[in-house]
Amino acid sequence: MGLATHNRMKRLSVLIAIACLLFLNPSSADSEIEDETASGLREKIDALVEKASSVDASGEETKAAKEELVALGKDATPILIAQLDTISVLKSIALLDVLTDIGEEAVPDLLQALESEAPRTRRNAAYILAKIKDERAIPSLLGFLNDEKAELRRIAAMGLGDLEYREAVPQLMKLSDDLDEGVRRHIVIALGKIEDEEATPTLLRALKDKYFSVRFPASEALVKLGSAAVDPLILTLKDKEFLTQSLVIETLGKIGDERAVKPLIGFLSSEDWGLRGVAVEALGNIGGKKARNSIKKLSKREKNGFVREKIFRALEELNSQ
Amino acid sequence: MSIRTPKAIYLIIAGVICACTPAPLLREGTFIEGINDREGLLNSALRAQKMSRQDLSFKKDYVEKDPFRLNIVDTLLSEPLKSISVSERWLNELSQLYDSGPETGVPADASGASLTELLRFTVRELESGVGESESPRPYSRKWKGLPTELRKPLNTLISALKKANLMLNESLAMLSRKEIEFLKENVPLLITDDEDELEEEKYEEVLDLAGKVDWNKLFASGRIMAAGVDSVLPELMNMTFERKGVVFETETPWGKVIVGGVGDNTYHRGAALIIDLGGDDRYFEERREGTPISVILDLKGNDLYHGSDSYCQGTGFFGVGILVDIAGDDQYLAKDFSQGCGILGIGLLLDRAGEDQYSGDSVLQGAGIFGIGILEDREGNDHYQAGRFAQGFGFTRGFGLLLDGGGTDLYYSGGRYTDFREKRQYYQSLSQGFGYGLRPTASGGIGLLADLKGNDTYIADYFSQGSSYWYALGVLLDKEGNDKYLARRYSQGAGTHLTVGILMDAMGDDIYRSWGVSQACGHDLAVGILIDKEGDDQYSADLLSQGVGHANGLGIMMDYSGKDSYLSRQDRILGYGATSRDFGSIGIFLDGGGKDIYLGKGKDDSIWTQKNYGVGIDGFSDSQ
Repeated sequence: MGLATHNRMKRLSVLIAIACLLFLNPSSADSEIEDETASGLREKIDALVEKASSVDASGEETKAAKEELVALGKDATPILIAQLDTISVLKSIALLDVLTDIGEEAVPDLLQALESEAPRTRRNAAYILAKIKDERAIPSLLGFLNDEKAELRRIAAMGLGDLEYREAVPQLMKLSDDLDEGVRRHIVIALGKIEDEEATPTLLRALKDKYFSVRFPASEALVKLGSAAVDPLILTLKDKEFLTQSLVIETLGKIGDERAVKPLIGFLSSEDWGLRGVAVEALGNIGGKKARNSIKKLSKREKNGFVREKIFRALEELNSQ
Repeated sequence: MSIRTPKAIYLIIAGVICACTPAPLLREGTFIEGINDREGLLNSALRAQKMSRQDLSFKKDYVEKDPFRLNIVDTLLSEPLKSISVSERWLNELSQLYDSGPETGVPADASGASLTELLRFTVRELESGVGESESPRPYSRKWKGLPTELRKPLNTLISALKKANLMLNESLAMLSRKEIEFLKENVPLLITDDEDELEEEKYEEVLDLAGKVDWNKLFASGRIMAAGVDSVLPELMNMTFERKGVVFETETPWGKVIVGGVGDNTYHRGAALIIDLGGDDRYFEERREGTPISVILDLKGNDLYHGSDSYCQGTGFFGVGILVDIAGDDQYLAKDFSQGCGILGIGLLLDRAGEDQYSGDSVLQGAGIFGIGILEDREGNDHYQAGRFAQGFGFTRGFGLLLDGGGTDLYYSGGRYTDFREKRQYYQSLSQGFGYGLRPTASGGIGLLADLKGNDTYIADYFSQGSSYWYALGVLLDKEGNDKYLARRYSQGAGTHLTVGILMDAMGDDIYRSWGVSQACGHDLAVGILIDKEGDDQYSADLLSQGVGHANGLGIMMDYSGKDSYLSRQDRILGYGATSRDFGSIGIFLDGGGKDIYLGKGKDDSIWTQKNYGVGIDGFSDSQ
C-alpha cells in the first residue's frame, strides 16, 4: 500500500469516526442546534435594539422594535441586560424602556445585574427595578439608600417612593439631610407619594432647603398630607425667611383648610409685596366670606402690580363660586 | 318730549357699575414700583416665584464629571447669571482688541485683533493655564536666491516653525505613532459619524487617548507660530516688491518654503510656509503628511482658496495651520475641517479686508475640536455658508471662534443634513456660536460667534445662534447694527441637556424669528439666555420660547429697552416653566421699558405669572 492510499484510508476512518460520534451522540447535535438558535436570537435582538435606539422622526419604527423586544420577554432579558453598560444615550433609553415594559419576568435577571462590576449596568438595573415597582427589589433598594454613589441613593429613594413602601419612611427621613440635592429631592418626592404623617417634620424642614427643587416638592408632599399638616404649617409661618414663609402660605392655600384664613389675612398688611401677593392667592384658594372681604378691602389700596394681578384672579375665582 | 335724566343719576349708576366690577380696573396701568432697572426686574421676577438667585443654580454632579469638563461651563451652570457678565466681558474685550489694533506698527487702517491676542483670549477661556511662550530665537541664515529684504521676516518665521514643531512633538509625546494614527483616523468620526462607523469600544479609546495630549504644549505651539506671524506682518505689509512668479523655493526640515512674487500665482500643494507678495492667486491646498505646521501669508489680490480636500485654509490637524490674507475680495472653498479649524491642534484664518466668501460643508469657519479654531474677518460685507458644525463651533476640549469686525454680513448654516425631527423640511445647523459635547461621555467645548458692526443676517435651523448641547457653552454676540436672526429650533439663546447657550445683541433694531425651544429656552437642566440691550425689536416664536424653562431647565430673556413687539401663537411662552421629574423649571421674561406690543400672551406695563414656575414682567414705560 502506497503512502497516498494510506493517507486516504486514514482520512476516511477519521470521517467515519466523526459520523459515528455524531450519530451515537445526538445531544451534541442538539446543542449545536441550540447554539445556532441562541446565536440567531442574539442577532435578532441586537438588530431590534439597534432599531429601537435609532433616530426616527415619527417614532413608529422604534416603537415597533421595542414592542417586538418586549414580546420576546424573558428570553430576551439576559441579552438586553448584557448591553446595559452602553455609553450610547439612545441605546440606554431603549433598553430601559424595553426592560421596564417586560416587567416582572425581567426582575430575577435584573436583581442579578445589581451585582455587576460595571457601574452603568448596576445603575441602569436599579433604575429599571425602581420603575417596574416589583416588591422583590425592595431589599436591594433599601441597601442602595446607603450607597456611596449619590446616583444610586437617588434611584433607591425614587423606587421606594414609587412602591409607596411605608416601612422605608424612617430610613428616608434619616437621609433628608443628604449633601446631594438630588437625593434630598427624591426623598421628599418619595415621602409625598407614601403620604405618612410621621414625615411632617422632615417635610417642613425641607421647605427651608436652599434649592427650590427640594422646597417645592416638599410643599406638594405637605399638600397631600392635607389637614394633618395645617397646624404645624401655621406654626412655621413664624419663620422670617421670605422663601419659607411664602411657600408655607402657598401650601396652606392649596390645602384649603379654613384654620389658615386668620393667620393668612395678617399677611395682607405685610410690607412685602411678595408675601401680600401669595397670601391673596392662598386666601382665594381657600375661599369663604372672610377671605373674600379681606381681599376686596386690600383691592382698594393696593398699588403693586403683582398683588393687583393676584387680587384680580382671586376675585374672579371667588365671584364665580 | 324727551325725558331728561339728572346727571347725578348717571353718576350713581356709573359708580354702582364700577363698584360691582372692580376686577378689570385693577389690571389697568399696573406696574411694579422701582423695578425698571435690570437687577430690580430680575429680583422681582424671582420674588414673584418665591425664589432667590440661589435657585437658579444647577448642581455640578447630576452626572459623573468626565476629564474634558471645562471650568467655565461648570461655573456658568452653577451661577447662570454670570453668563451675562461673561458675555459682556467677551464683547468688550473683543471690541477693545479690535479697536486698539495690533501692538506693532501696523498701518492705522488695518485695525483688528492680532492672532496672538485672539489665541491668548481663547486659550485663557479654555483655562488651560498656558503661560507666556518664549519668543523664538532669531534665525540668521542667508538663504541663497532670497531677496535681501525678505531675509529677516523669513528667518523669523522659520525659527518659529522650528520651535513650534518641537513644542508640538512634545505635546504628543505621550502617544505612540500608532496611537496618533488611530486618533487621526477616528477623532473626525466623533463628530461626523452619521453611519455609526465608530464602535463603542473605539469611541472610548479615542477619548482616553485624546486625554493624553499635553494641551499646554499644544497651545504653546500655536502661540509660537502666531507670534512669529504677527511679528513679521507689519514689515511684509510695508514692503514694495515688483518681481513676479515664484521668487524663492526651498526645502527645510519642517517642510517646503515658497515665496511668490506680485503676479497671479497658483499653488498646488501644501507647504510649511508660503509668502505671496501680491496678485490674484489660486491655492489648491492639500494636507501634506510630514508638514504638521503650515503657514500661508498672502499680502494682496483677489484670491481663490480652493480646497478639494479637507483640512485646509488655516487648519491645524494634529498641528498648527495659519492663513493670513491681507487684502482683496477672496473666495474660500473647502469641504470639511477647514477655514480656521483646530482639530487636536490650532487653526487660524485671518482675512484683514475685502468682501469675502467662505463656503464649505462641516466643521469649519472657526471650529475647535480638542483644540482651537479661529476665523477672524476684519472688514467687508462677507458671506459665510456652511452645512453644519461651523461659524463658532466648539466641540469637546475645544474653542471655536468666528470674529467679524464689520460689514453687512450673511451667515448661513444648513441645507445639507436634514434633522430627523422634521425630515426633508429642516436641517441640522449646530453652528453660529454652538458648543457641543458627546452625551454622556465627554463634556463639550466653547463656540463663539462675535460680530462687532454692521446690519447682519443669521440664518440656520436646528441648534444655532448661541446654543449648546451637553456641558458646553455656545455664545452669539452682536454689538451693533439692525440684525435679523432666523432659526427653527434649539436656537437663539438655547441650552439642551446640562449646558449653557446665550445670545446677546447690544444695539440696533433687531428681528428674531424661530419656531420653538428658542429665544432663551433651557431644556433639561440647561440654561438658555437671550439679552437684547437696545433698539426696537421684533420677536416671534411659537413654542417653548422667550424665557422658558423646560424639563427642569432655566430660560431668561431680557430686553432692556425700546419699543418691542412679541408675537406668539401658543401658551407655553413668555416666562413659562414646565414641570418635569416631579419638580419645576424656571422661565423668566423681562422687558425693561418702552411701549411694547404683545400679540398673544403678555401685556405692556404688567406682570404675569404662569403656573409651574413662570413669570413675565414688562417694566413701566417711564420714558417712552
